[in-house]
Amino acid sequence: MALARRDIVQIAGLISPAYLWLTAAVFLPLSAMLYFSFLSSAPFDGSAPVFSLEHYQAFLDRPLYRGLLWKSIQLGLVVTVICVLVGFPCAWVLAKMIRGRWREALFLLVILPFWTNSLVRVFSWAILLRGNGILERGLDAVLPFDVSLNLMFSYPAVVIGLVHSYLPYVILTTYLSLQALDDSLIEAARSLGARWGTILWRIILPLAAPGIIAGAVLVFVPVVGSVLEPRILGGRAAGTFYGTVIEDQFTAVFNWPLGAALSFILLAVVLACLALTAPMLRKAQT
Amino acid sequence: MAEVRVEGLGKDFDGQPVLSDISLTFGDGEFFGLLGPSGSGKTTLLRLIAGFLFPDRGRILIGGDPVERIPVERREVGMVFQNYALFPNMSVAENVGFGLRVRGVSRAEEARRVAEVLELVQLGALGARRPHQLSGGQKQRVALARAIVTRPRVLLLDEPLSALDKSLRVEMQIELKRIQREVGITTIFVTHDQEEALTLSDRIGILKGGRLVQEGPPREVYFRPKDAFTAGFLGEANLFSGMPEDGGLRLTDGSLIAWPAGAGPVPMIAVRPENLRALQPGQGHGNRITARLRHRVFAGATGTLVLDWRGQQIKVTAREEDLPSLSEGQEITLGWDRDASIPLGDATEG
Repeated sequence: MALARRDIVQIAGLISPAYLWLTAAVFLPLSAMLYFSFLSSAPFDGSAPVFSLEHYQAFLDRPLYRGLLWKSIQLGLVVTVICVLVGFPCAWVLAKMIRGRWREALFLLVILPFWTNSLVRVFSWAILLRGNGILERGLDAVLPFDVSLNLMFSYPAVVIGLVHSYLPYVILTTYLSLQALDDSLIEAARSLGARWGTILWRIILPLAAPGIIAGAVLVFVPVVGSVLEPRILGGRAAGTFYGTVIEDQFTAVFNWPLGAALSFILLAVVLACLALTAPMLRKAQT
Repeated sequence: MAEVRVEGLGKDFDGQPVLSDISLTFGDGEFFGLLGPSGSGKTTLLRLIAGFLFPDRGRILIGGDPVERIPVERREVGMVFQNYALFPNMSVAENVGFGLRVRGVSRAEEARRVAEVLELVQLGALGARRPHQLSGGQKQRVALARAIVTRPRVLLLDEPLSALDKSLRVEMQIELKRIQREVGITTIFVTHDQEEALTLSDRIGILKGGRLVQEGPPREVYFRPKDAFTAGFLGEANLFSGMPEDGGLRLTDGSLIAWPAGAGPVPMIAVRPENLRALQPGQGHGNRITARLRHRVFAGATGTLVLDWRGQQIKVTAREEDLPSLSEGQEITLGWDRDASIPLGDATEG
């Protein structure tokens, strides 16, 4: 499609504020970090920059980093799978089973985590999960036997906190794709003799796949690099992940070049993961 | 293939009856049109027969078996939806084969039957296409093929042609009828398009306000409507009401309309616009009224005069060249044959 000159001017005028902002806010700092990652040490003392690949080499040489990256990817997968398993039925109910005021009310509850400060959200989980915390006392009051539940500073605590934070993404993206799914498709499948399992597997899931995958990507990417939830809910015992190690480089060890190098390795791995899902997305769209 | 019977069928939504006391027999192999305005309950009736809804009262029998409690998955009905509802993630052949796959038919058998039915609907070459690559008429054929490939006992069509443009609709009407005849399947379809119902159906049923007003072959219902609603809904009708007398119906202007042969005294008479003729002064016999021209409608081959008779609208339709040239406001005398009068029951009924 050929664009008239006027259209081009108009388009440029409309998108340039956003892209200028993105350039300033994302591209420039990111470039600075990329530059840092190739220095042997941060030039804070005014010394001349020395270029080196040693920090990328460090990732390859030290199994600790590779192990942590793998652990973080696993965490990302676990959280993503739980979010999809929990979020899909919820999105189904919101899209197909309820209408009107109730839908609005339930939507509000889904979006609520977005509106609370992330630190508050995470610390409120800490109150719930710790030994002799609200959850344990509540269960003790209901159940006849003595419950000893100390989830705090454990892997499950990190997973719970992350699922809570990222579940809305999956619900919202899946909701949108289910909303676009015509009810008469399901009726047609039923009239052809299909049971619910078949309908779910052959009609609903393939057609909702773009939404589910988009939601999964929105969850997986930030979870792999997450810092806050592992730090606070995982603590010393279970809170060391790839993201927290990067943060340490910047805030504790002051080895900015190593932190930057580890960040870019993460970015590369995440992009590779996205590249793997891209064909699935394209297929689902046809 | 089977006869379908509904007996005393009723359905309520939120405590309000949307369908009351419907009793109908759809003969084996018959093409039956359910016709009615929106809200008449025709779609509800179709969905009850399909099994998407369960009735609150009455029975549904397919081939003599009561099925009103059997859900749609196990009722062995084929259904074509208004928007076709083709699965966009599957090819034409996969769409058509879906019902067979679900039933555990072998792949070879599936392929053979899909090819056979695609041949029947004249889409033999398009099996690999995706629904979004098809035209409206082709989608319609795929939907039809998908609904009949499992050899259901009944075929149900929900406004099957309403999404097509007019010329394609006429073509698909002929196709639909051919395919239905070839397969010989009992077919029930819902439409609000009277012409479609008259063209396709062996018999039609007119629904209004959740009740069956009249049923019968299209000719009979068109020429012998029972009440003013049916007369006006199925084609156009000029209605004349008055006092029944021995010789005929005495209109408010004092003129007398003779009873058509075999009709008893009724309070209302309908005359189709195509049966009214303009009379020269002194010409004609029997029934006549004098009306004033409001305006004239040109529709190609035919034309319509819209006239005013004592505050009531009267229409006359004829070949354009047979209509008299009149200017607006001019008076004209209209007449019609005695037997062109259609006696109607109480118009307020139903």
